[in-house]
Amino acid sequence: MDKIFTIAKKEYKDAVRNYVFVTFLAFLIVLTGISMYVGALNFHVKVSLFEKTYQALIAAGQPVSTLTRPEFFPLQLLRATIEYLEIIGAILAISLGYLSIAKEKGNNTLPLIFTRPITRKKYYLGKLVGNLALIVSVCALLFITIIGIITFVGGIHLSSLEIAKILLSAFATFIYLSIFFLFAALCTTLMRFPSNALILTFVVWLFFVLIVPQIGDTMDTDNQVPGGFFNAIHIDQPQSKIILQQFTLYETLRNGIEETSITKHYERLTFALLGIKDIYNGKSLGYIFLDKVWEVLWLLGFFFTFGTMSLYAFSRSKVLLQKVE
Amino acid sequence: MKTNIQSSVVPIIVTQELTKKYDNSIALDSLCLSINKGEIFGFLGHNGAGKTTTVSMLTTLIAPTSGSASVCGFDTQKESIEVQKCIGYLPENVKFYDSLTAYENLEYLAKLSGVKNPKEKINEVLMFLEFDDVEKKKLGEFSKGMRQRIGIAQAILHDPEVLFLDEPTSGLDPMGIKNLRKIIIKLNREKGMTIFMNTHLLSEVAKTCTTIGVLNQGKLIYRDSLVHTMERFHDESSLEEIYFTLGDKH
Repeated sequence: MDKIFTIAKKEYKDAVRNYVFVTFLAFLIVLTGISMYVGALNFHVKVSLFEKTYQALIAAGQPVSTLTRPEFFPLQLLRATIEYLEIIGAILAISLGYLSIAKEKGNNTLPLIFTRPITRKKYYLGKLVGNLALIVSVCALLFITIIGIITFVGGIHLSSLEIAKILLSAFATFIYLSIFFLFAALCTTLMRFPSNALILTFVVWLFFVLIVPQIGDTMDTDNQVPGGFFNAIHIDQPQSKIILQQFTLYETLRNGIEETSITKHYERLTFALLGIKDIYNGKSLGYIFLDKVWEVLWLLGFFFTFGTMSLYAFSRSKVLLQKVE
Repeated sequence: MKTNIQSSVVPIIVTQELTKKYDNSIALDSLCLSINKGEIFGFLGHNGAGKTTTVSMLTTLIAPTSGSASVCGFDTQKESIEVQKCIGYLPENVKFYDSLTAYENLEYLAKLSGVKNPKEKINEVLMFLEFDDVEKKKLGEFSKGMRQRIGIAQAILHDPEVLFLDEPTSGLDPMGIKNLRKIIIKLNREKGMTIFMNTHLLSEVAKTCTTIGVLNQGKLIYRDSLVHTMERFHDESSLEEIYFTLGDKH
C-alpha cells in the first residue's frame, strides 16, 4: 500500500508540474469562470431591476400584482460549463492518460521500475490512484468555483437539494473524464509508438465527442426549431407521441447513434440533474435517477471496462519494454 | 588496471541453456554462463548480438523462451521478487523523470526498492559517488555524465549484490567515461559488488573488467578472465584484434 501511495504521489506531482496539463486546466477554469460570472451577473441585474421597479411602484401607490418576479434556475447556469467539460475536459483527461504512459516509454524509465520489487499491476494501480486523485481535484476545484460564483457574485442562496445536484454532476464529471483518461492510457500502453496512440485517441474523441452528438442532434426534429418542432406547429405532446410512432425506425436509429457516444450519456445525465432540460427542473433526485439510470450504467460500464482493460494491458504488454527511438 | 580484489569462486550469476526467440529469429541461443561473486564481467558484442536481451532476462524484465537463469541463488522466473531485491540496474539511455529534481528521483526509486530511510541512504550514496549540491537541481539541467552518475546512484540505493550496467559509457565524453570507470572500480573494491557490464567499448573492458565474455549473433563464443585472455592471445597486439579474431572464427 505504501508503494502505491508513493507512485500516486509522484504521478500527481509530475502532472501538476506539466505545462500542457496546467495550460488546459487554466483555460477550462477561466472559461467556466467567465460563463458563470456573466450568467450570475445577468441574473443579479434582473433581480435588482425588479426590486427597483417594485419599490418605485409601491412608492407611487401603483398596483404591483402585474409585476412578476424573474424566474431563475441557477443550476442552468452550468450548461456552458458542462459543454466545456465535454470537449476541453476530455482533452485534459486524454493528455493526462497519454503523458502518464508515454513519458515512461520515451524516457525508458519502465526498466528501472520493473527491476524493482513491485508488480506491474501494483505499479499501474499507483498510477491510477494518482491520476484519478488529480481528476477529483480538478472537478472539486471547478465545481467549488461554480458554487462560489453563484453564491457570491449572483447573490443566490443554493438549497441543499441544489448543492446535492451540483455534487452529483461533479461526480458524473469525474467518471466522464476518467473514461477518457483510461482510454488514452490503454491506447498508449498497447501501441508501440505513443504518437500513434495519441492520434487514435483524438480520432475517437473527435468522433464520439463532436461528430456523433451532432448527428444525433441534427436528426432530432425538436432541435431544429427553437422551442421544439411540434410545439412550433402547435401539436401537443400526446399527439406528437402518436405521430412519432410512425417513425420508430428513424427514432431507433437516431437514438442508437447517440447511445454510442460517452459524451451524450454524460450530457443527458448532467442536463437532467441540473435541470437544463426543462422537464427535469425541480424534480427529485430519485425521479431523475430512475429516469436516467441507463445513462449512469453506460458511464459506469465504460469506466470499469476501460479500467480493467488498461490494468490488464499494462500488466501484460510486452510493448511497454520496447524502446521508442 | 587489475581490480579483481574480492572475487571468489562462489557463482552469483548462472545461466543454463538460456534462450530467447522473437518470432522466427533467435536473439540468444543456449547461453551457459557462470559469473563469480566480486567479478567485473564485461559482456562484449556487436549491436544486436543479444547483450541487452541477456541482461533483460537476468534482471527479470523478460521471460526466456527456454533454459533458466539464477542471480544471487534465486531463479529469475520463479523467484523474481527475490532477484529484484539483490540487483541494481542501469538501462541504456535512461532519462529519468525530468520534472522531478535529482533528489526526488532518487527518493522515489529508493521507496520503490523498499529502502527504509531513503533520506539517509541518498546522502550516503551521493557522498560515496562524490556527488554533492545537486539534490535540488532538476534532472533536465544535468549533463549526460551527471545523469549517468545519478543512474548509478539509483541502482545502488538498496545495496544490491549485483549491478547490471547496459552500455554505461554510451554518449559520454572522455572525462565522463573516466569518472564512470572510477566509480565502477570503487563499487567493486569498496562494496564488493559484482558488476555485469554490457559494452562494445573494448578499451573500457581492458581498463575495468576482470572477466570477459563475447557474444556473437546470440551465441557465447568466448569467456575467460582478462589476464588469461591477454596471455592466450599474446601475439595479438590488442583486445580489439582478439575480438575480431574470435568473430572471424565463428
